[in-house]
Amino acid sequence: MKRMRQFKRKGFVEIQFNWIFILVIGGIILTFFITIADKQKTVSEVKVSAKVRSDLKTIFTGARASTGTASLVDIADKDITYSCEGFSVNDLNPVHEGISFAPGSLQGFKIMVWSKDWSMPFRVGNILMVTSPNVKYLIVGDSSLSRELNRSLPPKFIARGSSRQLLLNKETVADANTIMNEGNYRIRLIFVNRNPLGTEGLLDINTLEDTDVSALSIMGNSLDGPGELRFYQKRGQYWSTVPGSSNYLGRESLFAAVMADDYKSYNCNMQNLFQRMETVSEVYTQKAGKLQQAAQAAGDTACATQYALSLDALQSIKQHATSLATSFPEQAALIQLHQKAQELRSRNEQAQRLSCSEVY
Amino acid sequence: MPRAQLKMAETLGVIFVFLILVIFGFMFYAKFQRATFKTVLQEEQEKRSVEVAQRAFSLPELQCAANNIMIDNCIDILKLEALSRMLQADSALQLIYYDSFESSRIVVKQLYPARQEWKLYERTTNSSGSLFTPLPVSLYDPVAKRYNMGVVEVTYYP
Repeated sequence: MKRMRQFKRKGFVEIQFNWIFILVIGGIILTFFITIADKQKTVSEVKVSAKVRSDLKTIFTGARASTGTASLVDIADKDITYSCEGFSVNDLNPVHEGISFAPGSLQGFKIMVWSKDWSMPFRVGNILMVTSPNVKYLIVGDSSLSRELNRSLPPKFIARGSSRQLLLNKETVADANTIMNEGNYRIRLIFVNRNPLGTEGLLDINTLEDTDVSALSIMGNSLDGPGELRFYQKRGQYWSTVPGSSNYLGRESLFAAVMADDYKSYNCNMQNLFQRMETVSEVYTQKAGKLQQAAQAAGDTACATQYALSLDALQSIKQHATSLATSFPEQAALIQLHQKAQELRSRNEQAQRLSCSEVY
Repeated sequence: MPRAQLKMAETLGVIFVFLILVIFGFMFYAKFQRATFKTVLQEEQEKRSVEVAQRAFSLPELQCAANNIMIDNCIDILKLEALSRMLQADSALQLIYYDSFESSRIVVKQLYPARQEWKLYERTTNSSGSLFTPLPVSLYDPVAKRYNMGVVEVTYYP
């Protein structure tokens, strides 16, 4: 009996030990695989982000090379944030591809990429405008300028195979009363020659976060400018004026202000654009100088005079561009730059009439 | 050897073999992943090399223009000379162009009628390999009002 009890106790201990052993080893194996799965998840997330980043770089390089085109690009649904440093996906280095303008956040499986050249009067560079079809652009009012703005922006839909897809989610509304929230993650209102103040409480967009509703007020006589821009941000039930207004010169810079929902990123990119203009105008200054020397050497006084006048205009343009590269949106310099650009344009046309080589 | 000890040794053996199999599995997986990564990296580098060449061709400070209408695959010699001089003289400007050209060497060669060469940009790294992309181009001489034949050679250092 005693031996039997001893055997029973021994068996009981052995079974218990087995269970503990299984639990410990099982736990170790489980932890091992959970760690591996977790690591793989992180790696795969970084891989997707890196792929999106690389795709963005390729898309933007291609778009920059082909100006005037708006296209719809498929992309992995990753939240892409935008600032003056460029487009960021997760914590990866931002993609900075030339001069670009975009809302602070891009969401969804598609992005619209629109490239326009900015000329003053010579081409300074292609500016890239990027947005999501899930961002709603509402042009408030029915003036000729607002209609022209609507016409000048890319079309609402684009044909893709046999179907048509949303390219730029834009709409013209007569007044702010009719604005509805249709489930877009961001809404941008554009007011032409009026401000949004007084439309508080009329907007059916109060469910959206303050950062997701912004407004732009365009004050100018033409889309080509120069004109004034005022940026507004929703603050609860009210519009709050973002400190400091800005300016536009050339319709491309106005389109850029429509796309950029933050005045800081708009001003910063415009400064980068003027920095580029400084370099490009120096290239043209040197070219005009060489053309003038060659015309003088050939005894062609008519062309030499045109080149000398172009050179003066180019030097002034360069001076204003240098100043605007840090002082934008300084209005006086913009107006003077615009005047000098028009002067250079007429000199170039005159050179063309005289069968001289064009400066630009 | 008592039965319990024998059982224990058997269990440990099974775990040991299992762990060896898992380790081998991971080693193979890692090797396969490394090979895939190498291919992806190479593809990425080739893509970036072409992108650098594409950017060089789309710069308005180099492209030929007729009344501000850009001509594709054409470089204005006077603009090229000016930008090349500016880039050689100003290291701050080189840094600005690093965004477009990264670590690369861009040389424009005129092949006809006379042989001539302009070094536009150079920023090399210590990397062992490089990718070479030659692209044919028209070179416009605004003084002589003539188009010459040339090639843009982009050497990209990954």
